[in-house]
Amino acid sequence: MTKVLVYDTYRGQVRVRAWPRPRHYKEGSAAKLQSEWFRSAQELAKRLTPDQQRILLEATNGTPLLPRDVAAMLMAGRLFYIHNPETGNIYPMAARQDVSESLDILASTPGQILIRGADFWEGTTPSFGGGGWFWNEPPGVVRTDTSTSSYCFKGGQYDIFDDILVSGCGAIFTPVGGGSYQMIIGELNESDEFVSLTKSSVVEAPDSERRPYFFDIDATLNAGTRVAIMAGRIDSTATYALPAAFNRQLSFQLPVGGPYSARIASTDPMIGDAINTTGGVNVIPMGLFGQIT
Amino acid sequence: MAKVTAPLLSFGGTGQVGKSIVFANWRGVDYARRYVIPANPRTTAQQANRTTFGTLREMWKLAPSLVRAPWDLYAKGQKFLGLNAFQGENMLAVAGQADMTDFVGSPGAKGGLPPTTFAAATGSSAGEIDLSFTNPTPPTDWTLISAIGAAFPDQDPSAVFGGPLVADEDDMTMNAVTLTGLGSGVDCVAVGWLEWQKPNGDTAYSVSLADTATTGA
Repeated sequence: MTKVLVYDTYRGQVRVRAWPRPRHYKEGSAAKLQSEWFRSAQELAKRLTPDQQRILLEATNGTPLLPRDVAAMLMAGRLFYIHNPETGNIYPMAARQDVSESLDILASTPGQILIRGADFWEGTTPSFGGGGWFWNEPPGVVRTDTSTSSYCFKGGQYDIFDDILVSGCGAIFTPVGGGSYQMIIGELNESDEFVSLTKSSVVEAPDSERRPYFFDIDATLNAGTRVAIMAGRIDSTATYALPAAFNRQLSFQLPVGGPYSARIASTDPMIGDAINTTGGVNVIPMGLFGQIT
Repeated sequence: MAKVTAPLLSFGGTGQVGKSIVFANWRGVDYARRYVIPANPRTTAQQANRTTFGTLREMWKLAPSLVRAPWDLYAKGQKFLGLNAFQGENMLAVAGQADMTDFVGSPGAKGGLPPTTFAAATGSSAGEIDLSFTNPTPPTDWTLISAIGAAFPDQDPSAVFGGPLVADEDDMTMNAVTLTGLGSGVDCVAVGWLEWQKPNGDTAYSVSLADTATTGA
């Protein structure tokens, strides 16, 4: 009965109740603005070109959406993107902001990156202030093998294109539980010998889970040089758990070229030591945290 | 003003009570409001608005069924009539303007697609104007029924409507309408819109596009 009784079904039971009282409230200025924007968007949707309206009609055919709903989404800047065959899709700022606010739930500190943990995606805890993380994109070779030789430090050679102040580094690998691991960054000469060498802090692996490991290090990479970045175990030459599998490597644009293989059979590399460059294998995902200067 | 569900504890009530409150009903909606004697300052702007309102009312009375049909469909199922929508939309469009070039011929109903282009031109005979339509590709399973055009002599909206308001349709080629009976050499406002049939059989009208032209002399 109109405006007197309501017949409906609640939790499977038919019920009859009095018509609910209207809950009057004073609309705030923001709500009024939103209402006026929505009303204008609906009017404007009727005045789109016929080709646009036809596209919206056919796009919403068979869906619960109305063409004017999609038109309103367009006008709010949350639906469309511009496709550039060369550079990819260009999304509107509103959509980028929406996605960014969603990701802020996981990581909201500038410089953090997202890593898939054991249970869910999580942001790394940044140990450093400012700058950003760069991770290499390994070449096409994808290998998963554990070391059977005495190369306790393994990594890659990289050509540096820009001066980089490095304040941290990381690598994804499967350690031996309880082992002590370190990363080294060293500039190489034409004979693949270290002419400079910086060693990071030492991290003890709590278990044998494959995960990213982060190390404190202060190093400067100079443009035009070739460096070796390696991770290794320093407390035993007998067993190694490097390199790690390639899958799930992070691939940001790294301001370096390479990598090429780099390994050294020493738990304590020194300036003047030469690296072994047997190529194509044993390249593991590595990254740097720093600033391009 | 407040809507009421049981005015005066009865099923319905209208009229003023004690010169303080007025109960009334508008299109099936019961409401109550304070009893007010309007100030009615009769300012120039107020009089102009009133005349514009009356002009639109007169246009509706003289409008052919082709002109009324989209407004009636727009109002169908709503608590207002096509007349109310016609006056409301056109008051927003033409009130305070010097002419009626912003006149809305059709508000659009049920999502009809508008013409791609619409143009009015002087007709070949006296008192005629020719309307031409370029129509869009129909959506899947939609059928274009006709192209409808209407015209009237342009005027100040706050002046009494001089008329006439003529309309016609082209349901064969759907791209050309000739309107006659508008007087020789008269500047006219012309509007055009499309009538569609949707896949479920419902009728839909597009919003109207407008142009101006002088009738043949």
